[in-house]
Amino acid sequence: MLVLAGCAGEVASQDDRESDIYAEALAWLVARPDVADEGIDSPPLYIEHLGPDGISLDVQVDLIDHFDGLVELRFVDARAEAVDESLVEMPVRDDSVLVGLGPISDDQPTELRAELYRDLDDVTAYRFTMRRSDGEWTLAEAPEVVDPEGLVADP
Amino acid sequence: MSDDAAGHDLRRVRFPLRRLVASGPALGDTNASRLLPVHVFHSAGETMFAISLAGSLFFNVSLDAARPRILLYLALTMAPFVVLAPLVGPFIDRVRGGHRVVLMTALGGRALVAVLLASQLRSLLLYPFAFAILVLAKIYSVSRNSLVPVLVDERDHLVVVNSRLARDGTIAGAVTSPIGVLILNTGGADWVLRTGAVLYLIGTLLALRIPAPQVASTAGSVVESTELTGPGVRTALAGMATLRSAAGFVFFHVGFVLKQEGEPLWVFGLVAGAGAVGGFVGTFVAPWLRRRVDEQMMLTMALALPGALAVVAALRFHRISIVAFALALGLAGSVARRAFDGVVQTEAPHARRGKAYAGLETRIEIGWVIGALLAVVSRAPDWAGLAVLAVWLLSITGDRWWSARAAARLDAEVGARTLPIRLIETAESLAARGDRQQAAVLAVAAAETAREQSDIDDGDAEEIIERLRALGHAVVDDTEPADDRADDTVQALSDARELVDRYIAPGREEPVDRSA
Repeated sequence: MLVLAGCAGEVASQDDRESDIYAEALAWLVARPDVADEGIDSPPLYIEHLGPDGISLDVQVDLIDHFDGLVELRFVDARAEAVDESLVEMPVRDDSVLVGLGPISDDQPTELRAELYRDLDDVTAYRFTMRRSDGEWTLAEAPEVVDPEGLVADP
Repeated sequence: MSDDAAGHDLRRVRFPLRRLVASGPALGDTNASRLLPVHVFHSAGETMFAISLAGSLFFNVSLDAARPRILLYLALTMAPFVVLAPLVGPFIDRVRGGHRVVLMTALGGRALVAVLLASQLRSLLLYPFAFAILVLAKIYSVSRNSLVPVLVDERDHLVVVNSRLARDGTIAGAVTSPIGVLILNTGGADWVLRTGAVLYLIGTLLALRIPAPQVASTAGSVVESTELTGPGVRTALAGMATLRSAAGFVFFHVGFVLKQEGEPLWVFGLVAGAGAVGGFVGTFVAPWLRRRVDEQMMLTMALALPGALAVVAALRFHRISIVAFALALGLAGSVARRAFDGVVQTEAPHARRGKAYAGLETRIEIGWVIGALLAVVSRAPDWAGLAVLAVWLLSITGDRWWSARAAARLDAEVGARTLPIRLIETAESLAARGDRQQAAVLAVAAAETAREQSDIDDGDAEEIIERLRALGHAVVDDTEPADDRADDTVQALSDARELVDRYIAPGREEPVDRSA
């Protein structure tokens, strides 16, 4: 029982770390004027994980809760869920944005890749570097623009 | 009561509420009429619950992440249902006011869970609460369907009463839908759910007005059990459970696929609405169909229709094909329900106990759960899931079709000569269940009927029948030790089977030459 409790605690701690880091990155992205509009009728922000494992349900729920009232997050398994593949340009549904979130490195400071996709011709990628101080994850420096990798191939 | 008279009575009670809850025989059946407003409020609450899910976490999280949780809760919450549902019938039969307690528990429980869920629509508690509501819906369904046959004044009312319940339930859902959407857009999903809780609560209170069902004597339990496990009811039950499992599969499979295709919420609503409209239309189609084919054929057609539409949807997965499929499945489910009620009404005229019906209804609802589990586990692509479903439904349709044809051919060939065969098979089935007295009597009847129907002069037949009568008397008189009675029953069955085989062989005009 203690072993199980220990494992659960470890998973929860890992989830908290992921939630905090992703929340920080998303907050920076959402703050950009061209990413999310505030308002009841604003379209959802689609989120896709760029790694092989996906984002756990607990982390997804944490993030949805974190941005509740600011922007509606919608996590997707397949790109077709977010992108209108019937159009040549393959834009994101409802003129929204698809955010690709990469895996989080274990280093300190930790790194994370995030990509913004609007259509095939409009993809921007950033590398975030974050540091934990006073129990909170914050950006160590301004995100660096890098070449897109996750959301350009096989959209 | 004739259909016209029933139809006249059915038209008498409409909205508004005061007339709905009036104590008059809305269904042409005083006792069962009290169930109508309960069901109407339940259906309205159900609609609110479904609409509230539009504002839940379900549409925001990824399915791959949620799937293990859905699977876990589907399995966890269905386990108590499987245990509890069979207790519903005995509770209705044995406990004074038990029928009200069961309905009120299912409805009141849903009201309570709906209130709790209202503040958790955006948290992980959505899953346990939503599945708790689902389980209570299943228990309500088993309770209601077990209660109707024991509440109706006349057995002939069963199909009419169930049709009316289904029809008014759909109307209540249709009336409630726009109100639910309005509340969703103005107050939010939590208020939709709270409104649903109020509707469930009204249904709970109205359940107090349902009179006690007629208490059946235990002496009839063997007859009742025999009737409800007869081949006709068994075949109908298999068809009905198959359709319910298809409904469970489609609920999750199509829901997941629509989400993965990025379909907007209104498409989910359209598909759900198509299913409800199909169910509504089915209540009108069923009587029309019944005038042309028998109930078993209705069930076969009910399996074939969604099977055929599943082929179309698998080949071309599109909003239109899915809406058409949902419409067909709703219609088929409704027609099948009417056909199943008809079979029970005809073939189990002495079945008056809730326990017997709860057993049938539980098996039907377990079919739904198995279908749902398969959809969640399989993670099948849109076309593959529907293709498998189509193959499954159409193969069962084919099997039922060929079995019906074979039975019809046998009937045409030997006509009334099948009676001894049916009698001896029933006797063997009863003996296998331990009912030796009925088995022995039927064995004697089978042998005598076979002998009477045959023109063949066979010297030792009379001797065997005399011996059989003696064995039958020994078993029925109950004067011998149990072991001897068992031996006598086996002997009687063996002798009777020999005579039936000798005289009645399907498709033959001559007695069977067993020595050859």
